Amino acid sequence: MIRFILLQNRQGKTRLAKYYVPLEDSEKHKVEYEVHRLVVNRDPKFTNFVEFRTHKVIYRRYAGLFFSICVDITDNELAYLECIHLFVEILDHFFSNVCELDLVFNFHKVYLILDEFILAGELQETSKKAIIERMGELEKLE
Amino acid sequence: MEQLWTIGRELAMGSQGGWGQSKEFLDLVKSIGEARSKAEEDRIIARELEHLKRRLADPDVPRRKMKELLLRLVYVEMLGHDASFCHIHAVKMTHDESLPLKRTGYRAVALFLDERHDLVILVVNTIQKDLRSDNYLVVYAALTAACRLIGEEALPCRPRL
Repeated sequence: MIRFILLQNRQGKTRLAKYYVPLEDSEKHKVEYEVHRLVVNRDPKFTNFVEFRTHKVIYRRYAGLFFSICVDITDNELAYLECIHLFVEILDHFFSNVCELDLVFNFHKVYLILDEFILAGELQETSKKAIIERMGELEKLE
Repeated sequence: MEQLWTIGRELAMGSQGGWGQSKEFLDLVKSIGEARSKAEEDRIIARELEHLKRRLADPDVPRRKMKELLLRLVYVEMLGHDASFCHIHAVKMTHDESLPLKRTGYRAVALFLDERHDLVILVVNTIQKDLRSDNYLVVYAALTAACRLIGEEALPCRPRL
């Protein structure tokens, strides 16, 4: 199961945070700080999986943004690496050539995209086409 | 020259201030982004929270504006600041008849609260009602929130689908 998803830039500013397990505010702060320190200082030659407390973090860097997913220790890392890439592809399609500013000003839409394919910490939908179509439907309502 | 640049920027960003957001929200994000220190960021957000508290207390706020105020509060909470005074407004918005507002309410509630929170009891009823809706988008919004808010104690409340 996914514990949380973080989008952070190189300076450590959180651009998006979605927690699938209840955490106190102080704990969230600590987690965000630790995850950022963990992924930023990591050598690019190393794998994109790293142990974090009793879980593991799968991360991927796109330009100046780090996409980090914390999952159970027994989960499949490659599946979540693909999940991050799917998320980025959808963002890129939805915002037509996405940049960090799009995520800042449209963070509520990013949450919506996230809810389209991850529900209760589990991957629900893997079809990019289906997600984009549904997002189009929801956009018409706005 | 400065004035021309500002006009040019506003034209480029559209009348809504760009990205479909109000100018107030854009200015908030911009000022947070330009903050030199954590203390300065905290000051900006404290000021914003005061402003939002005043606006939310106003009974004449249009519903569309209410949606934007709630999104700004989600942004403030996402940055790790306490905006617990507004949680009740998010709960109220889940009762709205308008689908975009209801969805915004559910989205905010799912981000603000968890199954241990006291306010969850006020959302359970709405979730039950919305899960029985004929509109699948309403059901979908309620389900997304239910995943986050319905714990073991509230499980018997779920409707038989």
